[in-house]
Amino acid sequence: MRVWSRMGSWWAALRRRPQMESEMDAELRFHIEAYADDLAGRGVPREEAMRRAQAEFGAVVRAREECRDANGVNLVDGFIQDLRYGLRVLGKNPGFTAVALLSLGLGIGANSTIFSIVDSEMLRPWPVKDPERLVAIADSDLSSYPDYRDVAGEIRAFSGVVAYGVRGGFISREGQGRQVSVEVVSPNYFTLLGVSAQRGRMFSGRPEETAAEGRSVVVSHSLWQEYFGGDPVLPGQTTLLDGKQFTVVGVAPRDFCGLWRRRCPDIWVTTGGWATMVPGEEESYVARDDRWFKVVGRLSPGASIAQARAQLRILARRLALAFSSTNQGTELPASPAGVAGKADLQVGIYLMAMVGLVLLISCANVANLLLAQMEKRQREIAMRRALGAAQTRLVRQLFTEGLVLSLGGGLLGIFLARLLMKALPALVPDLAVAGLRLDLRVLLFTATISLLMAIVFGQAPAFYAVRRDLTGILKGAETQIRGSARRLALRNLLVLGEVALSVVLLAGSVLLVRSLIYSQGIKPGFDVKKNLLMMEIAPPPLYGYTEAQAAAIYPALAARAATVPGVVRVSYSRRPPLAAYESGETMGVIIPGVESPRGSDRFKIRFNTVGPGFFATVGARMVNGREFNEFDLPSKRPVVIINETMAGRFWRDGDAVGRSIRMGKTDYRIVGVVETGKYVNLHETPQPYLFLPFTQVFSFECVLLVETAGDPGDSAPSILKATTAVDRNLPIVGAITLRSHMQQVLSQERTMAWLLLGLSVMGMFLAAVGLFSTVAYAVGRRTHEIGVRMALGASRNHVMWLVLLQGLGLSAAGALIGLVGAVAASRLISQFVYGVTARDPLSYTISVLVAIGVALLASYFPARRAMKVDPMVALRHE
Amino acid sequence: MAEEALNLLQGTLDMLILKAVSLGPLHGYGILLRIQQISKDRLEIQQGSLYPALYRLEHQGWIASDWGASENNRKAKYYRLTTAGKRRLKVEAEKWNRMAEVIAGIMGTEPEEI
Repeated sequence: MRVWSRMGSWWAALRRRPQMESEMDAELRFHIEAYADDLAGRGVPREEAMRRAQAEFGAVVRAREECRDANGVNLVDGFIQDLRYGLRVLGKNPGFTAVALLSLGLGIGANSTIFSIVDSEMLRPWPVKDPERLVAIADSDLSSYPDYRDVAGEIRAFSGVVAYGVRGGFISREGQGRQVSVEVVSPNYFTLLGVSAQRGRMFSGRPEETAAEGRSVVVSHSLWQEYFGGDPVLPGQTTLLDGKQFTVVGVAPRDFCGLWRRRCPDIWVTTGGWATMVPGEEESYVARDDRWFKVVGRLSPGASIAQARAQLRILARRLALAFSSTNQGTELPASPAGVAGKADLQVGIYLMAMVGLVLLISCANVANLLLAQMEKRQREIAMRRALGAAQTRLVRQLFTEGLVLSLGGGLLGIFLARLLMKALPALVPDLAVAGLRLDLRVLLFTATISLLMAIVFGQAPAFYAVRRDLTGILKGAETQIRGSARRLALRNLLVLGEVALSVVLLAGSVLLVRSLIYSQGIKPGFDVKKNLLMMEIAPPPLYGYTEAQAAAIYPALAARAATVPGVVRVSYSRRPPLAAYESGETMGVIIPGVESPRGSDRFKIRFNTVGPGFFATVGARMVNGREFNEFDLPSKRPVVIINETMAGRFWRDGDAVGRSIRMGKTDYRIVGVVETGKYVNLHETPQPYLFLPFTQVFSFECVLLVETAGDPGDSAPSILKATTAVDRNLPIVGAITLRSHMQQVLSQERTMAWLLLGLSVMGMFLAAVGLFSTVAYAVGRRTHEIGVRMALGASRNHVMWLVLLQGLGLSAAGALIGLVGAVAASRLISQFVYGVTARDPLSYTISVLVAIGVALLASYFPARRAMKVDPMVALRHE
Repeated sequence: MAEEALNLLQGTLDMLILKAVSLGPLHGYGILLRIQQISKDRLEIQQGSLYPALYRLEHQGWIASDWGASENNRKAKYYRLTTAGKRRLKVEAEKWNRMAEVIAGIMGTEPEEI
């Protein structure tokens, strides 16, 4: 209420100024005249009455001025005046203004960009209704469908519970196929989350519609755009999902990505619909140890997460008793949904910390420039004070200038952030899915840091500038030598800090780059340099194939692809090499003569099913024995190939080839040992792994591996033509070269390294600007001294070194401090670097050397100017 | 001998204005007259200082103003108390009474009471 009345009179002061002034005038005149009338009424002559009224009232001008003070108009006036003056001052020093704005803009822009990355990957709340009422159950794990049913049925603290799990699938329409990520969701998924369709409708979850919704799908915004061409009348049309007909009922909102971060499902299917899709899939809805669902509940009104936890604990205990073989040790911890995992948060914290350093550098830079600016303006300020400007008025003036500068920097920062957000996804493909955008949250963040800057930059120079002895400054600059020496020390300190901070940044990015180089050098058990095209084939049973027909089609496809000119070798396998999406299926293996692990009768070992010639095609080295060939037929004895780690673990005494292992009820003879590779990610420790022959153990999933003589991308169209000739209905649902595959494998590491490298280049650049301006300023101040030195016989080289050494001294001291900081920061970074320790001396040495090199370069230009000082001119100047 | 006019205590003008206006809308001159009338001319108010006080009170939202016609039919700015102003007046009056009581108590102390 009172705030509004104040705002009102400020607003009036801005908009209705002339009216306000004339009203004030009229009011005061009325008073005087009314008084005069009263006096006249008491018999005082008219003229005398007027004179007395005016005299008793006092000076009208002063009263009016006091009135303006009283209702805040003067404050507004002063601000506008300051604003104008501030803009004029900035306009008069275009060099200073440009560098300061650029520094602030870079710092703020980088912060906004990184914030938007971190925000979109881990902070932004899910675009659902009341996300804070959602609770994730066993968030770090997956749950089975029966467990989900029990949670949904028994936990009264939840008004509803959804389950969602990710599967792969293939959509096709008129022969055009595409691999999609399918999210299998409980039918109440969209209604409980409160997400409605941007087109069509979502699953209603009503029991009477379960059957119809089992044959329906909802597609994501991006699939709608990319695959269905943004068809406005898509809802109601049909599409093939894994060869079965489904009706597209709706398109999800643009920003809805399911309850995931960093990856987006393409298509949503109900659990009921998915169960009928794939033969044998029903199994995964009844087995309690088939865990592939995430479970999220919504708290009922009034219920707390503590109540949910208590009820879940009881349920977990009961399940553990009832199903001891599967649910022993299965807990059902509850946590607020949507909170990023620890590892993700650490990445976020690290990135924000590093970009915070960039902001600090740019702050130091601007503070530095402002100090120099103040130095130049001290005469002006002293003059204004001598002419009667109040101290508070001057402080306000300088504060306004800081405000203008920071807000200008903020605007530039937003502009730069926009550019960066457009450019980044192209440079760092991993960020393309993150959905970077300049939304309200990012803008709010930017506004906050700009205002913080304003406070820092308005305040500091203001206080410093006003507390001075006027006469000294007005008499002449030289009496101020001691004070300005102190200020120079402050400026040196700032530059030192800038160099130190940029060394911290630089050390981090060098470490990450070294780690990336190491990761790229990891031998994953196949030849990453091979020209290999990997083409995923849709599961043939979905397209009317029997198992026998399907078993025949893979060799047929491989044989046809091998006839294409330029193709060297062809094989196929269930999983491509180093498949990050491998869900960890294992085989239970009994090894005769080796005792099984505790609590189980068999070893769980990961596996892949591969065709003849697989190892030759991917370039894996056989350590012993042979690889699979076309003669390993179902009619022959079952065979298996194991990796070196497995051979070493179980047959220490000698060769594993020729031994037998048992899986299920079948004995398999080991025919070969292959070098150990990486199977899920590059940084895994060597693990036992086994390979089954495709020719004996059939799989519905298949990737065709085609090695070419030249660039596999060039041969892709003709290979595709050859394979579709075998069966034009069976879609190839994804083709990727090994090279791009490997790039995706390393994408997070690469993203981090690039981002940090970018930040440290920025930091280094800003520090260089700061160093340059400080050294240049010092040279400017020492022109006279340099002139004297030269007149007394100092050589030009000597003078140049004099200046260079100053820059060198500053940067070396800064770099040393930075080194300490980098060691301190190494704790943060240690979990992201592989193959080098976080205190890698080489990385630190490189960053210190780079920093000093840049510093030398930055002081070289002022040094040259110092060298060219003409002693005659410099001395005459005095 | 006429009683000597008292100068206003610091900070009390605002309260007096609020009180004067609380009895009915008044223009600036009217406020001056009313305070003088109620105090039986025992208070001296600087005429020039009245208006800054009025503007300040209006800026703070305790009084509001409208233009109207004066007794002899001239345009004048009338001030009236707002709801917030009523509350404010009550608070100020209580504070003042307490203060007056305390000071009177102190000034009325006899030596034997200590």
